[in-house]
Amino acid sequence: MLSCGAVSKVYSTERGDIEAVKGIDLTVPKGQFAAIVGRSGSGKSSLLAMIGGLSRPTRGTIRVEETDIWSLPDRRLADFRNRRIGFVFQFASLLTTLRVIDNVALPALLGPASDTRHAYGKAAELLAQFGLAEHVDAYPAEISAGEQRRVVIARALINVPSLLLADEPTSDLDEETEREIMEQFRAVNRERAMTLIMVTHNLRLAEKTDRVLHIADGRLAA
Amino acid sequence: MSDRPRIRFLLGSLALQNLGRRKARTLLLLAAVAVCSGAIFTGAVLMRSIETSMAVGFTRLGADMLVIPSGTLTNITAALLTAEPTDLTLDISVLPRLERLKGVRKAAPQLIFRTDASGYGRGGELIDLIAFDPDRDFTVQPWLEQHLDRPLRPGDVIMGGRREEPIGSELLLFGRPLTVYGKLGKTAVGTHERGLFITFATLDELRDVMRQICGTKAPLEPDKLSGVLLELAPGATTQQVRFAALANFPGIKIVSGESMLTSIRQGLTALLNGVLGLMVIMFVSTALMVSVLFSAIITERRRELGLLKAIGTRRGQIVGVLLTEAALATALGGLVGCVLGVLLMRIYEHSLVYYLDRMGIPFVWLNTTTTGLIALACIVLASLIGVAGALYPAWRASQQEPYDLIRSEG
Repeated sequence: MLSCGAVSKVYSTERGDIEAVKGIDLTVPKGQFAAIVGRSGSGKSSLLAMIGGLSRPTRGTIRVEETDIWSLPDRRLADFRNRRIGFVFQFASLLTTLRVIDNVALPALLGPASDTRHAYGKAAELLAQFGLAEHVDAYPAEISAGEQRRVVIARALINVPSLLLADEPTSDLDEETEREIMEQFRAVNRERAMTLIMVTHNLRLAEKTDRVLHIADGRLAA
Repeated sequence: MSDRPRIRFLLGSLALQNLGRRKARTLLLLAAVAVCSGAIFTGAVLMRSIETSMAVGFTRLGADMLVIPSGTLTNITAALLTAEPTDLTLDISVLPRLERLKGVRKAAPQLIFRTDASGYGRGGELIDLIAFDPDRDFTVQPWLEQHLDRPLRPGDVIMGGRREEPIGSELLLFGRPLTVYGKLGKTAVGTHERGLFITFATLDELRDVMRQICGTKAPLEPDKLSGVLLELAPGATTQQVRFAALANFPGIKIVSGESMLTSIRQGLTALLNGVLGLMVIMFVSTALMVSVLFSAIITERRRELGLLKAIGTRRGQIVGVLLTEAALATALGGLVGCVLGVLLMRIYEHSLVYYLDRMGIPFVWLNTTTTGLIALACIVLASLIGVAGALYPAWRASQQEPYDLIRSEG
C-alpha cells in the first residue's frame, strides 16, 4: 500500500541546512492503522507531509498504491491528493467562510468528474454518520472544536481515499472528544479497510493503533 | 457528469468573503483604485467631450467649408460658426461666384460684428451681432427651437440658445426696437449660443445708427461679408472646391471640417499626452500598491491556501481565486471611481463649462451610451489593475508546496 524508500528531507535555513528526515525506509500494508510517534522536531510531520504529497522529499521515493507520487506532474499530483489521500491536520483546518456542508463537499467538487448533487448528498450522509446532521448549514465558528474535527474527518473521507493521514488530530481536544475521534478513526479503518497513519506525540493514543513507529532525530527507531 | 459551476461558485464566494473579512484593507484598496479610475474616467470623459463637442459642433451647423478673408483669425469656437469677428471682410460680389463654383450646393453669407455699444444687456455687454441671409441660410434657421407663428421679417431678431428673452418680446438694439422672433437650440458653439441673429435687411435698417455709434468700421460698410459658409454638392470633395475657390478668389482662406478637426486634434494632443502620461503613472502605482497589498493578504492566508492545495485544488484554481478576489475588489473600486467622477463633474459642471467656454472651447456632455462605455472601460481597466497587481503574488503562492504554506503562520 505505502512504501517509502530512503526518504530524506533537508530544509535550507539561514543558519544552514537542516536534515529533518534521514533516509527512512518504511512499508505500511493496506488497511493498517499505524502511529508515528516522536518528540517535537523529530521529523514525524515532515515524513507525513512527504507521504501525503504535500512536501517534496529531498531524496528517496514514496509509493502509494504502486504510484510513485513524486514523479507525477503537479496537476496529476493535485488530483492524486484529491482522490486517494485524506488529511486531518492538527489545526482547525476548515474554511471559515464556507458552511460545514460546503467544507465537506469541497474535495468532491474539486474532482475531475464532480457532480454537485452527488457531492452534497455524500457530504450530508457523512455528516449524519458523524452525528452532525443538524449542523450542515452552520459555519465552522458556530460549532465546537470537537465537532469541527469531526467535520474535518468527514471532509477527508468524502472521496473515499485509500490513505488517511492525520497529524496530531487530537492535540487541542479534551479527553472525551479525543476518545470519540479515536473511535471514529478505528471505525473508519475497520469498516472501510482504509490505511491510516497518525502522527502523535501521545504514546497512550498511539497504543490504540495496530502499529507504533518511533521516530527520533529523523530516523525510525527499531 | 462533470459539474464545474458549483466549484467555481464556491471558490468565487471564498474570494468575495475574504474581501469582507478585512474590511479596512478592502476599503483602502477600493479607495486607491477608485481615485485612479475616477481620475481616468473623468479625464477621458472631459477630453472626449471636448473633442466631440468641437467635431460635432462643426458638422451640426451643416457647413462643409468656410470661406473667409485670408487675414482672418479663426479660433476654434468662432470658426465653427463663421469667421471670428474682425474688421476684415469679403466683398459681396464673391457670393454669386462662389455659388457658381463646381461642387458647391449652397453658399450662405454671414457678417459678424462684435460690439459693446449696442445698448443691449447690462451696461456695455459684449455681443456678437450676426447678420445672415434667410433665403440662403442653412446653419442658423435649422437651429430655431422656438419662434413666432409667422415668417421671419426685417425688424426681427433671433436669440442664441443661452439668451433668455421671451419670444415675441421687444428689445432695443442701438436704440431701435427689434422683435424677438425666435430662439436657437443649444449648439455647443459659443458664438451661436450667445449671438443675436438678424437678417441683412435688418442690418441695413440699423446700419446708419450703428455707424453713428460705433464709427465707420469695415463690417458696417454696405455689401461686405465676414464669411461664406458652403455646403458641398453630393459627390463633391473639399479638396476639389478648395482648389477651385483659391484659384478664383485671391485673398481668401478656406477652413474645412477636416482641417478644423486636425487643428483641434493638434491642440488637444499635447494636453492628452500629459493626461495620458499621468494616467500611466497612476495605473502603474496603483498596480504596485495592489501587488503589495495582495502580498500581505496572501501571507496572511498561507495556511488557507495550503489547505486548499492539500485537498486537491490545482495551481490554476489557486491563482484563479486570488485573481478573482483582486479583480472583484478593483472592479468595485473602478465602479465607485466612475460614480464619484460623475458626481464631481456634475458638481463642477457650471464652472467647468464656463471656464472652457471662456477659453474658446465649446462643451457638451457626451451622450449616456458613450459615457457608459467609458465607465465600463474604466471598470475593466481597474479590474485589470487588480489582476496585474495580484498576478505575481498569486503565482508565487501557487508555486509553493502545500506543506510550506500550511506550516507558516503568516
